[in-house]
Amino acid sequence: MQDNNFQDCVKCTLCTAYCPMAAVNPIYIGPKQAGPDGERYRLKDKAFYDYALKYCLNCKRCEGACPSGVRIGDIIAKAKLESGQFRPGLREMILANTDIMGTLAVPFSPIINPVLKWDISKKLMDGVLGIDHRRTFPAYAGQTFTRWYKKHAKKQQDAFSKQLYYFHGCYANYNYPKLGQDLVKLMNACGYGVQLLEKEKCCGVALISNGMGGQAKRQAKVNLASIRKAGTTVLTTSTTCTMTLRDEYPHVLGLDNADVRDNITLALRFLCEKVESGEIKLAFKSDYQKKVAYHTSCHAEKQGSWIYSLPLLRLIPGVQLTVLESSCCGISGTFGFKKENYEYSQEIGSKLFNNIREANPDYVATECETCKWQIEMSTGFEVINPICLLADALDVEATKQLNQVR
Amino acid sequence: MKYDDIIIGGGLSGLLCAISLAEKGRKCLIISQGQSTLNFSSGSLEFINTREGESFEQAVAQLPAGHPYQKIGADRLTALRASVAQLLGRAGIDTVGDKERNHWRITPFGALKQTWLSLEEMTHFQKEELPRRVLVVDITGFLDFNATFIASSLGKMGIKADTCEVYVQETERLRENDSEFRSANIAHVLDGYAIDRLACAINEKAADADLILLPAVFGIEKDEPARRILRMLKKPAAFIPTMSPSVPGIRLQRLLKQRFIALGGLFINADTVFSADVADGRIASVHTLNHGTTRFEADNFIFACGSFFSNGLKATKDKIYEPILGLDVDFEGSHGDWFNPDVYAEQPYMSFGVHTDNKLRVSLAGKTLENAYAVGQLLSGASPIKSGCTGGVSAISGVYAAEIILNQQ
Repeated sequence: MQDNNFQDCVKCTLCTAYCPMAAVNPIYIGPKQAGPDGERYRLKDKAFYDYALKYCLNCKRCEGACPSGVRIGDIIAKAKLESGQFRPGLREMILANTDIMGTLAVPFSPIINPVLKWDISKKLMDGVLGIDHRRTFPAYAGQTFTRWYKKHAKKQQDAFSKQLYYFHGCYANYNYPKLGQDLVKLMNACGYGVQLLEKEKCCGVALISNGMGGQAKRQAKVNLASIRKAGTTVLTTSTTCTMTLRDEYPHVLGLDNADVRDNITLALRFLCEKVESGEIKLAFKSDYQKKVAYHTSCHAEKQGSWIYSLPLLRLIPGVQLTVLESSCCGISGTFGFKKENYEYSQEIGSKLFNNIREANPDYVATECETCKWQIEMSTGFEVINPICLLADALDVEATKQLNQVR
Repeated sequence: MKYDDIIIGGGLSGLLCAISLAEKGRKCLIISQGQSTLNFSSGSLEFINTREGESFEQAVAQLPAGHPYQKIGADRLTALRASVAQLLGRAGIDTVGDKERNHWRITPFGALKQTWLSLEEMTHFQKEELPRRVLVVDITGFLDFNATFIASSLGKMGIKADTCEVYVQETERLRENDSEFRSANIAHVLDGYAIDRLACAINEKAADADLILLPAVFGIEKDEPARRILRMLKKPAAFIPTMSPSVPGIRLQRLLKQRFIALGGLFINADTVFSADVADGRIASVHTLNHGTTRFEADNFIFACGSFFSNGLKATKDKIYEPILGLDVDFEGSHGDWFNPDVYAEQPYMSFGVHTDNKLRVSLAGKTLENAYAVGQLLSGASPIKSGCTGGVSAISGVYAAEIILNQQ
């Protein structure tokens, strides 16, 4: 576990120069002031710069900019949790409790999905809760991924000699089970059985950013216990869940995960490494033709995980790939849903939206679900997780043969 | 994961090396620990200071034997200078500069400084073509650019310099922030409308000037805002760098990175290489903090990690060391000998760096590593501020290391 290293800051201000929020919102003092500078003052009084902390997107682009390795984003996230000024209201409870909301919503999704689209409900949420009426809510699935898995996939998994675990996260479970289904399809074709963890809770990223540190910690402990119990590779499909499990648990929540950190990995990284070493072979349909623009989400940038996504996408013969300049889409999880942030959110994303329009692709590919909501809402282009793209383009039978799967 | 070449460090030297390799179709990975000192760039690259009438070649001949230019060899430098300018051009960075002699630029303090290659929009002139009357433009509230100071320095050189302050409505918003009113913040809010109004205000005051000098706060992401203001002004105009961060520097960094990625290069940001596997006089692979168990293998490794500021070199009371692998470092004496108490004097520590042979290959415990190179400010032997060779050493050593690697294939 690494300690808070605010004293390594040399005051060069590059973090602020690269901060997407500081670029559009002058009230935000920027990561240098809110982070390492503020930390010195906070040693005296926790209230210093309190008003500014809520503007941090937790995108970690400040950490990517820092030449001195200061974990600026972590310092801010921790200060936010410790300040005691962020009492989560009803809105924060609703937005951050993805497990509860998902469990309640999925059975009623045929009713809830259209209702969430009504102007009247949007106005109501805006007025009563402070959730911006211009925001489109992601649709809930008709059936959760875990339910589908138990019904249609679980039995077949034990037949594979090689086994992996999958941390599906809230989005794949409640909103977009196809992502989980595609992962199972892909891994099965390569000869790996996919198991679910004994217990999985939301990674807690939204709880952390909405000031619910205690609950985040409790959920983190459940997840870490299950990951430890799995004792082998645990695949993920969301860059943000991955970063939370691997880095935010020790850095922000103070939970040591050093023994299992390397077991937690994006499925794309696992696949890319195995493809390169020749342990996995992939075959693709010859008639799959798509123009794809890859968007590096903030947390893919932070973790450097896009170096695995691009080589995999380039393997698909019919994919014509453009790499968009890495920049923040502006939504930052629950941040962009809040009424007071909507305009900042859209202004931050405008550069990316323009680049996407210019590329004019069939799909935008990215591993982040909230980027997907933001980009689809703001540009109309369809956004796809590279896992789904690989699964769609995969020639399943040929891949099975190559990997000697019966 | 296997690559042709892994470059550790994503600043000027690392990027130019990587771009040169990627242009030849090599599979390259850059692992960078954060942003580089390119973000503090003046918008000009120096090659070497020359005396009146002296050629680059003559100035290089006077450098000590351990200087990177001496290792590369005087006969290669002319061609390498041309390569650097072309490489920048292919990345969409237009520069001016003579192959054989320096030009002059104006510093943030209003001094004239020699330099080799300047971004097209920065000030650049030969001594004989210095302007006679200039207008130095200040933006209300901006403290990292001092027009009066600049005008006074220029005045001492016989240039008639007027100043004017222009009020920009868009930047007034920035004053809501009690600490950040810097070049990058300004550049973010100067859109087309703001620039057009700004140009009108300046035009009204520039009737007598034959050159308008502006702070370099235009075009942080694209060239267009910088081009736009120059187009809108009715008199010739050029930019003077501000206090850091450097807007032209940030744009340079961005364009070079984009060029590398467009060539198929992969770039890991915000990660630290913490160990390397060495066997039979070669580096086989490196490991990073974020990628844990992943082995990053390559045929060649290029250390472009920068100097002390970028943590490419570290110092304790008794030694100076290279933190990744403990590569051999050239340094002399003990702590007390490393610096000169007169801050304006030549500082010995600035010439300390990683030891290399003439092919810029590094060594470990006295033994040369066959496939590992050092480039840029990590190299020993240059006293960059005294000789005026900072940017030149970075750019040229980066391209040179790429040439060595390509020639071996």
